[in-house]
Formats: sequence, structure tokens, C-alpha cells
Amino acid sequence: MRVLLFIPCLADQFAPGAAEATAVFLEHLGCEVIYPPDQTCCGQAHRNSGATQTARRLILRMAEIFEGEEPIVTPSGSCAAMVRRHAVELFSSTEPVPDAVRSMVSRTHELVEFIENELGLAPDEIVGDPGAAPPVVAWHPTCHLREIDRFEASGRFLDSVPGLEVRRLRHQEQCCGFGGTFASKFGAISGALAEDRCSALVDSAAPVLICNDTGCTMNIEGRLSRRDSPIPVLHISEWFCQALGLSYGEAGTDQ
Amino acid sequence: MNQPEIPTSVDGKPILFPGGKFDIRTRAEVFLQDEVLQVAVREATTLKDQARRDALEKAFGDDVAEIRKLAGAIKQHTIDHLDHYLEQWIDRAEAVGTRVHLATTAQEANRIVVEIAREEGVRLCVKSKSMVTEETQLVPQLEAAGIETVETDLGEFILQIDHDAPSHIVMPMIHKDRSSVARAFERVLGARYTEEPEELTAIARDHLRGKYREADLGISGGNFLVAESGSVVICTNEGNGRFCTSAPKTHIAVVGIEKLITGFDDLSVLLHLLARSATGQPLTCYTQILTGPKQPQELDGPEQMHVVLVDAGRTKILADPEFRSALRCIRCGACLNACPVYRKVTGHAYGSVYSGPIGAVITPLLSGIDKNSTLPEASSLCGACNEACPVDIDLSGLLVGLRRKIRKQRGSWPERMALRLLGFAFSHTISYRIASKLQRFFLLCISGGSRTIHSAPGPFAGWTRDRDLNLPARISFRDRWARKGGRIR
Repeated sequence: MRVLLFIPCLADQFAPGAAEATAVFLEHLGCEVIYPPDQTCCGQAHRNSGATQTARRLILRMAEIFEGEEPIVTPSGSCAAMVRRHAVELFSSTEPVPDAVRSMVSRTHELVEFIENELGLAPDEIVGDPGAAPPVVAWHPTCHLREIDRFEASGRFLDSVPGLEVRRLRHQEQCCGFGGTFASKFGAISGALAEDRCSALVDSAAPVLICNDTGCTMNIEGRLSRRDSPIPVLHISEWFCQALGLSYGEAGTDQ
Repeated sequence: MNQPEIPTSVDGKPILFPGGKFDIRTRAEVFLQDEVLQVAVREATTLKDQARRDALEKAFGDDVAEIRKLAGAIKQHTIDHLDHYLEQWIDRAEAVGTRVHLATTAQEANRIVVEIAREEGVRLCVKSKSMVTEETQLVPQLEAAGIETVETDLGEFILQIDHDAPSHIVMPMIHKDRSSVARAFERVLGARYTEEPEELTAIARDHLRGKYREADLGISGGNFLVAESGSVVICTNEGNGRFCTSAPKTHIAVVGIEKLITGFDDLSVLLHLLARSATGQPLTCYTQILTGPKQPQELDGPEQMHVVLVDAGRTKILADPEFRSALRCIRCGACLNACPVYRKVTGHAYGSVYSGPIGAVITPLLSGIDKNSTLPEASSLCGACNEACPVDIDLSGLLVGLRRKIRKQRGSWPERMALRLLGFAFSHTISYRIASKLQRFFLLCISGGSRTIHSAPGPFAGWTRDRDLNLPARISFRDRWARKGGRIR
């Protein structure tokens, strides 16, 4: 199956390894992965800040770049939610929704959702055991998965990976405090929420945290670094690549 | 009239209605440091949040989302036809002898209540819990008119004797602990110091029972107004609402006009959701449906029943279709319990009787976006509130709508500039590439050679307050993809 890869701007810049793992993982699952190189941002930050016009312009631009019949797959829950839940409402009041936007909305999927619903694969059909990946992980559900009805689903997907123990964190339903510009504008509140997540992670004694949104990842990693708790945070695709023995990421390109 | 003392918050402004421009961050800074407060609020909210989920799941299984949608539609319908149902309710209420008053503003609502009290020669008033009377600040007005007024809801009573203000819609004294109650009872009621909940409750009960017997006026709020019968529905847990509305010879219910519902079928749906969402109970201990004063054939009840219908900005919300759904709110407090920001900053940070997500929406709408502009911004838009809301209000969507209004009216220029620059950067592949390089260069400069930035200026300062920031990768994904010859189009 041909798929178009939609990489969030944050992942492009701050977590290219997670983005690459997504591509490698999809290729392993039999997809022909195409990355439209002109993509930038879906407009989520602008939409959330109330800059509707700019957000509308950006989503239209993305929709044109992603035109076609192929499914669009993104490793980020919040970008998927932005497209699926909010792209159309940016237009409703003033103008008809362009066909390209409607088409993008109907074709966009978050990675795990795509694997489950479009490829129709169960975890045990993908991987027999954790292999080289950590066999015990903590799971951080991304808030925006709520908006596409996937808040519990991705965690359940992980639960059924053979040989993997998935630990749920205390107050797992509570936001890690990222929220885009919120994290900078309300640093004290956001930082306190990040600390809740990190202390729950430390208490879980899991050696690694798995997440499927690069915004949350940046936030949690930042707090873990500040409080000197060196627990790695992996994107879900990175865990699967490790389990399957697939290499991703070029050495020495991270810094 | 001399203005009674209003409790002052940490920022030197009154806890409620701070006046002038107000920034939730100032208070949040202080409340975040208050360990006792943090623990109390976190424990109570997470407990109630879980109780809500369990109760709804037990009652409705897989249909929780469906019944929330139904309840939302019920409230939306009444709000969309408020004029019709309001007229119907007034007709039916007056037909059974209720005296109906309309108050356009908070001041007018207070004045009406004070006038009724004066006409009846009231000396002592007992009052059950009501958010709208907190909103209008009724009690200080009654006291200023020389009418002793006693809050009889246990939480509100404690707040009253402590000159404190509620910090949660349903659990008004969520911010206080047992010892502060013990001290207040010792100081004000002359009781022996005890931290035993049963003993504290007994002390309050003894004190309040006497007040019910002497009171000549009872004031309540109202959870619903049933249009088909002209009834006021009151949901309480402590039984104090019953005393207030039946013992004194006059009962005044002060109710916001958005509380209307069409009939008892709708009431059934909403009652199924209200207590479950608020506390996890199937129903509140007491659900009173009050239809008029004591009738000739009846043995008890108030001789007079007044209802003050309060607008106080609600029709302004009604007039704006974008925000109208905020009027669906049934004040269950579920969105507060679910909200990560509420759990951290706690109720008094909002400067309003309405805190949490619903407060961040309706406070700006009711009392001005200008002075409350930080409230809609103080959200990560995690959507936990949307999921918790029993009447299906898209709270995070409304917060974004308010942000749009704020940006149009008075967005700060550095922020506007930043958003515009970012918008430009994202608009072209080339500008995106240049901007990423510039960003990396900037961060590299301030990183001092480390991969991790501990302190950054400008827009990153908030981020690095309690968190580190990793440098962006040297090679972005798009460049890696190009290098490895990945498919593009």
C-alpha cells in the first residue's frame, strides 16, 4: 500500500529519529512510503492560538501538498487530531471547505490507528516478542488522541504485544503539560504538570517511556533532564523498530 | 450601605472579582508552592473524577457518550428557544402562586431579594448553596441591609465564618483542610477543638438547627426550572436545602435563566447525569421539585415562594451563537475535576466563582474578555473537560474561540509578530528551511556548546523555567530522507 508520510514540524526538527522509525516501520509492514518534501506545518499552533486565518492558509497548503488517493499517516496524535477534527471548522463560517481539505481529512491517520484499522494488523502479527527492545515500558497516552477516539486504543494495542509489559502511570489521563505555546506562556503550570508525569514515571520503575506524540516527548524529556532522571523516551515506532531489529536514524546526526 | 470586607488573595486583590486586569499566572505561582493545597485539591479532584467515570460506566456502559450527547441536545434546545420556555415557565409558575421577578443585572437580583426581605420584615435568613448568589454577591448585600444571613451548606458555612470564598463549584471548600475548620469552629462558635469529621459536622448541625427554627426567610438556588410545570428543582446532599425551603415562611429561589428545561422527561435525563458527574452518586440525597408555595390543602411549606430569574450577562452569551453552548452548563464541576490546570492552580487562581474550564469560558463572557484574557489562554487544550462534560459542551473549542476574540481585540504585539513570522515560515518550503536553520543557530548560541539548554531567553524562557530544552537535530528528518534517497513526489 502506498502511504504519504506526514511528519510534524516538531518531529522534523527535534525528533527526526522518531520520524525515521515511523517510515522504516511502515516499510517493514509492506507500505511504500512517500514523503512529500514541501510539507511544513498543519497549522495547529496557529489554530490553538486563535490565529484562524493563518491556520486556514496552512492547512490548505498542506492539503494541496498531500493531494491524491493514498492514506496519509502521521506519528503524532495531535497533528492527526488537528486535521481530522479542526481542519474543516476553520472554513465553515466564511467559505466552502476546499475539496483538497476534505480529502485530506478523510485520509489522515495516526500511526497506530492506521496499522490497526487500515492495515488490519494485530500486534502479534507484527512482532513475536520484544527482541532487542525493552520488555517493560511505561505508556503515555497523548491527550489529543481523545479527539480521534483513540485515547485508550493505542495503549491497548501495546498491551497485546506478546511478551511486553506495559505499565500505566499514576494519573495517566492527566495532560503532561505540553499544549504547544501553553508550555512557554504558562511555564510554571506546565512545568508542574510535567513534573507530575515524570514523578509517576520514576515511581513506575519502568526503564523507558513510550509515547506517540513528539510534543509530549519533548516536554517529558525536558523535565526528566532537569530533574536528573535519565529515563529514555521512545516513540512507539522506535520501540517496534528495536523489537524487529530494524535500524533507523543515522549515527551522529542528532546534535 | 457599607461594603462588607471581601477576602483578599495572595496578589492583594479580592479572591473573587479582582477588578482591573488580572493574570491567573500571578496567583498560580503562589498556589503551586502550597503543598497542603496541592495535595488536598489533587486528591479530591482525582477521586471525584474517577467516581464520575465509574458511576457513568456502571449506569450506561458503552452509551455514556450517547447520553451526554442527548443531555447536550436537551439543554441546547431549551437555550435556543429560551424566550418560549421562559414565558411558559413564568405562566405556569404564576398559575400556582409563585411570584416571579426578572433581574437583568446582578445588582438588580440582589436588590429584589433585599426588598422582599425588607417588606417581610426579615431578621434572619437561612441560605442553601447557590452559585448564582455567589456570582451576584448576595450575602454581603443582605448583611449590609441588616439581615443576618447564614449559609447552611456545610462547606459554604465554614467559608462564611472564615471570610473565605468557594474555590470549586461543587466542593466549595476543597482548598481547606480539617484543621482550618477546627480552628474556625473554635474561634467563631466557641467549640472545643476537634478534627474529627463527625464531631465537626455535629457542631455545625447544632448551630444551624437553631437558625432554621428562627429564620423567617429561606434562600436557595435552583438546578433546573421545569417549563411544563413552573417548578424549581433543587438537588442537595445535606438536607439543608429542605430546611431552607420549607421551614421559613418565605422562600426565595435565585436562579439563572439558563437553568430552564422543557419538562420532566428532560429532567429525568439530566438528573441521571448531574450527581454522577458531580460526585459519582446515582442521585443527590435530596431532589426537591418545588412547584409554588404552600397550597390550601397542604400542611407545610412556605407561605410565599418567590423566584428571581437572573440574566446578568447570560442573554449576551445567548446572542452569540459561537458561545451559546456554554449556557448548557449544569454546574456539576466535572470539568474542574478532570482539568490538569485546575488541579494545579486551584479555584481561587481564576478570580471568579466559576473556575476550571467552564470558568475560563464563562467568566470572560460574563464579566469581560479584556480583564480576564489570561483565563482562556491557560489551557493545554487537552480535552479532558470535553470528555467529562455531561452536557457535551466543547469547552476546548470555546477556549480557542475566545483566544480568537482576544487576538482580534488586544493580542500583544510581540505575540502577534511571532505568530505572523511563524505563519510566514510555514508558508513556503524555503522559508521553513531558513527559519529552522535560524532557530537552531539561535539555540546553539545560547546553549554554550551543550546539547541541552538549561536557560533560554524570550519565548523559550517559560519553557526552560522548569525544564531543559534539547537542541534541534543537526540534520532534520527531511534532509535525512533526502540523503537516504527516500521516495518523494
